[in-house]
Amino acid sequence: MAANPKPSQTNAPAAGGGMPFKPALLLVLLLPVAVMMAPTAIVLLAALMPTYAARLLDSSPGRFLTWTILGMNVVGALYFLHELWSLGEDFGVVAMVLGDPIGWLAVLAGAGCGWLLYLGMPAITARMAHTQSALRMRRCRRDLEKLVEDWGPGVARKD
Amino acid sequence: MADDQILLEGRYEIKARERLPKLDSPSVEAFAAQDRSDPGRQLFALIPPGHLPCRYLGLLNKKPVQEVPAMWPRAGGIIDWPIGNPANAANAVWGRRPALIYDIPKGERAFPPGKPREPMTEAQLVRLVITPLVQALQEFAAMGVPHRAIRPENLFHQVGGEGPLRLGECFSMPVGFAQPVIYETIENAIADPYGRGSGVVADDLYALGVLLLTLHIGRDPTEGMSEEDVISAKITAGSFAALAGREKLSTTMAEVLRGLLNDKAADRWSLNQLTGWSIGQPFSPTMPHLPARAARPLRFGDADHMTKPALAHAMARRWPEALRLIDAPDFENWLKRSFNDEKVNEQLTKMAIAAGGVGPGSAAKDRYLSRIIMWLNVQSPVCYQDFRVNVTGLGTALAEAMQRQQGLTAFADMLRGRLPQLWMNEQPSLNAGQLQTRRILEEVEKHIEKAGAGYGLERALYELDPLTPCRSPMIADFYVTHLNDLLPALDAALPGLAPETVPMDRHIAAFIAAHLRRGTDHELGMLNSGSKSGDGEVERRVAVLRLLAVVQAAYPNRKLPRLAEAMVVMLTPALERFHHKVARTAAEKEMRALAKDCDLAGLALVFDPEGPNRRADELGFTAARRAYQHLLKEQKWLEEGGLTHPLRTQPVGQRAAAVTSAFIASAAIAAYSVFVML
Repeated sequence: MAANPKPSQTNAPAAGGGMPFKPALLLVLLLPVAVMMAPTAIVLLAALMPTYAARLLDSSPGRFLTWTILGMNVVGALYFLHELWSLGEDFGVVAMVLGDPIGWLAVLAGAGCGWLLYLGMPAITARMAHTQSALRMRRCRRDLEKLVEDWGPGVARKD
Repeated sequence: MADDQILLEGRYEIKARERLPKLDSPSVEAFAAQDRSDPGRQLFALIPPGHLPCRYLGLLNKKPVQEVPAMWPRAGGIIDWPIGNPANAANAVWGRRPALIYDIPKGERAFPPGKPREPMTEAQLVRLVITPLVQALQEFAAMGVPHRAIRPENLFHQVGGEGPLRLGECFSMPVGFAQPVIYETIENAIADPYGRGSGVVADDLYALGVLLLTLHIGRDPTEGMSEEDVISAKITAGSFAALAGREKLSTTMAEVLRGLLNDKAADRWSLNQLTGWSIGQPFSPTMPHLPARAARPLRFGDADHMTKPALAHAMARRWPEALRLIDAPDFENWLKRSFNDEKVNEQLTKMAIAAGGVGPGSAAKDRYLSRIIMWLNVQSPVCYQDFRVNVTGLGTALAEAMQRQQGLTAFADMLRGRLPQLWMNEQPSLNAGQLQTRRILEEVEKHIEKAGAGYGLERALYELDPLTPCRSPMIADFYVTHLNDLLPALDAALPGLAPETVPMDRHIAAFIAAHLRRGTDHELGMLNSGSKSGDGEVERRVAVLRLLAVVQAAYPNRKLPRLAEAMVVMLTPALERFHHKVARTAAEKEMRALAKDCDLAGLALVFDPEGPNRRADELGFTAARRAYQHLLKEQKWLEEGGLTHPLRTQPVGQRAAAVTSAFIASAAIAAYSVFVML
């Protein structure tokens, strides 16, 4: 007799009835937009190189590194996009725009900031968790004392 | 001095310092009394003992419809009374006692003890004795009250030192208590003086017959005989032959004595027959009922016995010897051969098996002997070890045994072995009193086997005779016969008791259970459930309160300050049963307020484990314990780094980085869009 599959192994929709987020589907939807705005798409694909690199390195379940790098990478890519749209969106200016070292500096700086954010944020949350833990510990002690005070030592009896 | 005045019904003043020994009844002292509404009336009071039921207290609503030549109480009830030495009331401890107020007889005592009597003729007997006494007995019979104290020492002249007689008092002691065995029917004579039972009018007629005989011959025909010999003679020869057989009697005198001394109550002359005889009506003579005689005697004790009832009587008086006799082959052989009864063996085996089936195993042989005595003499009272009791006298016999603290185990074994019920089953017919006792015994049977407070022998005591006063050592001096008086008696008794006395014991619990007109098994169950220490003792105290509160609810009384104060002291440990500090404080406050109002029911509700206060507290406590354990777990989790562990903070930080990055990107795109549009 075959074992029942684990719930995570089934193709059932996620809880709440909604479809899971599928990046590939998003790309398919964006494909017509990319065709219509082909120069912009080409510049953006090139500018998001650090994100592709991060995605290759990122094996965490939520792909938080990729998303962090993507956000900051997009901010850095705005320089290239502004330049492209300022010069007129045309295949002829794509090479000129991508040849601008300042643009690449902006892109890489953005991606770098993403890395810094990704590496620095856990330390901040750890510090916050310590503070929260201390507060909760103090509340626990206070509540325990209050219970004993109100109900007597018998309240601590386990049986 | 005014405080020492003893009043009954606010009218009859009893003078505890003025004894009237000439008017004493056996075991009962007489005192001078005065009617405040009629100071000229000559009265005296009898103060019956404090441990026995007083029959008159159950007859307060009855009164002869006409003046009869018999002493009937002018009033009766329970009074405050100096216990111990009534003459020194100033220093006495006050308790309560029953009191009976009588008119002082206008005539003298007709036959004082020790004074020689002149024989009376038939005519004198009719005029001086039969006519007035029959009139009195007719009135007593109409009220359903047998006199049961007809004997020469209890007769008075109606006026002065001669003339017609009147009956003396009969209510101060248990029925037939002071009757010499000669004046008692065989079954009553065998019974102990405290266990002769309620009796019937036929018993009075028997006593009247003996009285007529003794007055006619001018002496006691059994002079010099022991009580046992008198009873044996009556059993063997029949009462008439035993008492009058050697006397020279006229035909008419013999006729009346044969009629009145008939040992079979159903064949005994009635009051109408006696009246008819006194006016000259002839009656056919009644034949005595004699037991079958054996072909040869059986030696037992100091005598040879020729009849089964005579042997039964001897066995009842010599219990240890009788236990040996029933094991001896002589006994069975005598029964088989002397009465030509081949089925004796079968009968004895049947009784032995039945005796082993009911009651404590250790007393099986005693029960077997008791059943043999019943079988040998169906009319004999229930005999068991040192007790010989008529079923209607079980209550008074037990009250006396309780007072003496003797034979209580035997009495309990007798009831547990259902011997009174078996006795009734053996009788061809039962009178009204015996039928009532059968119903009471059915109730007793339910409780006698239980060991807890409110059950057992104490419960039997109060079920068997509802007029029995509560014998709790705490309130024994207060003669409490009604639940209405129980709480005031406890209230009055408390100052004399040790501090922190819990006002409950086996007697009080049994008294309440027997007198309440509703089931008390729940309350008694609570009272008996806890151990006598720690939490069990606290719950027992709450159960005591509940039981007393039930009494207060049935008989409202809010003037119980000392009892309420005792409740506060008693319940102080019970406050610890409240877990929550605020609830405890509130309960204590409420307890004091309710105690001030002497509201025991309210107090019981506060401390009732099933009541709203305790229940809410208990539920809260359970929730608090659960919360405590939950908090402990949380504390442990936090201490073990539940919130700060890198495995938890790392993903949170990474998620936060992603979200922050998304925010920044969104903000930058939005800012650029605005820049472009401008």
